[in-house]
Amino acid sequence: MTEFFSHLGDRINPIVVKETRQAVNSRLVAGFLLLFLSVQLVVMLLMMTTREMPDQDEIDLRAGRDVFTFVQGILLGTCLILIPAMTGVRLAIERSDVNVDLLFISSLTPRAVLLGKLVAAGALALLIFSACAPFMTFAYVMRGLDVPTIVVVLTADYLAVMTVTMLALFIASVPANRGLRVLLGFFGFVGMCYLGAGLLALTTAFLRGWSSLDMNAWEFWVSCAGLLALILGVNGLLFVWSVALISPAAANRALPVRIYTLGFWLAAAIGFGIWSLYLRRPEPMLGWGLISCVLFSLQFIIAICERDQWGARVARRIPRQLILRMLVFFFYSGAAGGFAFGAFGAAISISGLAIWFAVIPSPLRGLTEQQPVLVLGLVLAYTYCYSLTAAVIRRLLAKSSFPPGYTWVIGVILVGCGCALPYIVRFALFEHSRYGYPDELTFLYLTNPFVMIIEAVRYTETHLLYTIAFLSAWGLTVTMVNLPWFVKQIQKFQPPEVPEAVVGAEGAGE
Amino acid sequence: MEVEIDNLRKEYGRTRAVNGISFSFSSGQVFGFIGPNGAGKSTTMRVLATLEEPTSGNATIDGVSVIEEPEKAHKYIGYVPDNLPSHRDITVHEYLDFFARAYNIRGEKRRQTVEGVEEFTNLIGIRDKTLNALSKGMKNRVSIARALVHDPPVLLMDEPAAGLDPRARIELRELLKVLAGQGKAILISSHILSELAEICTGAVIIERGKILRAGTLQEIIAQSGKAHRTIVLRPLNRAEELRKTLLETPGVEDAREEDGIVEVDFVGGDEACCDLLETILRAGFRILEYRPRRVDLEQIFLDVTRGDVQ
Repeated sequence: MTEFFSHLGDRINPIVVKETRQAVNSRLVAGFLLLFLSVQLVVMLLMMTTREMPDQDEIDLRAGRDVFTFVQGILLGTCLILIPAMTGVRLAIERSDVNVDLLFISSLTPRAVLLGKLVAAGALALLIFSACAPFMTFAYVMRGLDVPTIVVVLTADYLAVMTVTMLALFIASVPANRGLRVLLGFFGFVGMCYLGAGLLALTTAFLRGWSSLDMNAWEFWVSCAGLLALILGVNGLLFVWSVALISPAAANRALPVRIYTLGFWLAAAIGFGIWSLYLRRPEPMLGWGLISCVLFSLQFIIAICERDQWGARVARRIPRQLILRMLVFFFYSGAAGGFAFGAFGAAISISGLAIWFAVIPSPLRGLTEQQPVLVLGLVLAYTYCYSLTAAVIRRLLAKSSFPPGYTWVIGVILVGCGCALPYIVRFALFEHSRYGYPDELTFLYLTNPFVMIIEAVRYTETHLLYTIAFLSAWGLTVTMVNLPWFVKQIQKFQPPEVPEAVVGAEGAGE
Repeated sequence: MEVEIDNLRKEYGRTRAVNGISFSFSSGQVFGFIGPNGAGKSTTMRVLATLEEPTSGNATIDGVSVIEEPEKAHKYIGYVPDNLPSHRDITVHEYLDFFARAYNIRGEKRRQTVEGVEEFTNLIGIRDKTLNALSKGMKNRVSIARALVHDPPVLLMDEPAAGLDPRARIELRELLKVLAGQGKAILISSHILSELAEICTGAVIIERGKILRAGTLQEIIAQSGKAHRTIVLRPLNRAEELRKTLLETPGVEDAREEDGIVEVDFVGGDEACCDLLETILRAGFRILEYRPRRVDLEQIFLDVTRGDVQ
């Protein structure tokens, strides 16, 4: 038995062992746990003592449900703050330049490091959830809720905690200075607040029976399974991105990311496609469209931040066969391949969505006009144009050693200018007493995606035509400007030449 | 096992931290990495430890590139950084056990390895203390123990003696001697040149990211064109007279007398040292002790560097 446990101990990810030991020894965790339990106890006592009791002959069927709502709210809040913050900050410190933890020069792979952190965070979350179990059991005994409801709510809470933890790990993996990382952390915190508040509202509605969700219907469980798959898919995406970010620069970091992106995109297409066919309506496919839009917009941004060159290690793995080489060009590390991957994915997604809406007509009037498809298309087109423009500017700045990894900053500045300048120009040159976007001034706002996408869809065809014409001209121009660079990248995508002596030896061997 | 650094370059924006340096050292050699602050020592160490990617150039350990194949290179490298571990919630033993696990050392072998390293670095008595509760010297030992846990053939030590008290320094020096005796290739940076001279078989002198001298101590002496060394003499009597005589002797740059002991700054190789002793004895001085110290790295360092920083 001892041997078995010893063997088992060896198999456990070392990070899990270390992080769990640290969590158990941590005063912070112990303090939080005690505070959490005390708050729960106080809340429960207050609820019990201040609650209006029904008549002696009646049973209060809401008491357990109300207590549970509070308990799970406290649980969710505690876990959403403590676990992601602890995991993310610890990883960020370990990756800091000034405080080398040396985790990243051991034999552990980046995947093992992140997986270990995630599993350790999951174990800690389970510990806190289990500490909450007595209160939940008490709530159950008080009546007003059933076991499946408790399981669904707690599963949703746990998934939310793990998703936010994964987001924290991703932010901690981003190669950025402390200031930028704090800023990203702040955005992550805001996102976490929204997620926590939304989930709390949803679970409260679910517990109190305000929602139309019916746990007896099979559609409920199918929807749950679909949502679970989507959440796992998003977590997986964050995971492969994080692994790529902390992998050595010489490695083919993009390969797993693009394979995962392709897999996620295909799986989403199949899932939403089946749903759409089942309902005989095209609207569910908008979910896939939205996923595609997010995936490939981010792919454009990631691609412009990638390096133009690939190291000897990646080059050694480039196939010699032309067809195979052309295929892997889209998947191997490199800015050109990444951008081509995004462009193809975006084009196929929008075309596929348009065809789907044409084949399966929607009973909704607005949707028959393919407005959502148009919106997604415009978002992708603007991202394409801004990204490629940023890439051109970065190459112009190449002599000043501008790091490729920060090309996204140029993109953000461009979008900022594109959004703000129209207002400044209008204020300076034209009348500024009127609000709105009159037809004669539409051309001013063409660089502002937020205005133009909304206006193009909401108003007349003139706006739409202006936008499409502008984006076509801009897209074509930046594509042509980037074309020589792109062709050069394809030409350079070759395996290293084999020395003649090796060729001779290989030939002799045959 | 050979460590080769080939035309390594590292730039931070417009600053060239390391400017095309090349040198090599191999098993059993202890190389001192010497240079003023900001010379590029730590950057080079971090590149070798796979923590930084160079702008260009390469570094290999036994033919494995630390830039192209860092995952393979990890098992060859033990790195002692200039900052020390300071985790709050983990004990010394747990910390070393974690790294042993991270290097895939399993089962009973892991227990033996961790205990062996703890014993070797004299950590047995403090193995259950948390890292943040340790003194600097103790943390330094933990850092070295961690670097040794997977028995790497190459050790990179960035300022390991900084901030240590005299006893800890002596212990570190002895530890390094044992490790060098085990056949490890060691690159060590330090500002305490007298200590480096005691243990190093070679040195790399770097300034403003460029190598000024590199090679074994003999090679560096040859490059310098002269061999500086200090000779300690303890005459039976007539110490002041001996000092004056020595100042007139060829090769002697300076001679100081204190409490009957004469220290001589001498330029010359081993043969010249023997000749000097013969000269002194022929002059009728009776000598209780004649101890030529090893090559004076301090003097070579001062000769070749200008103290420029970037």
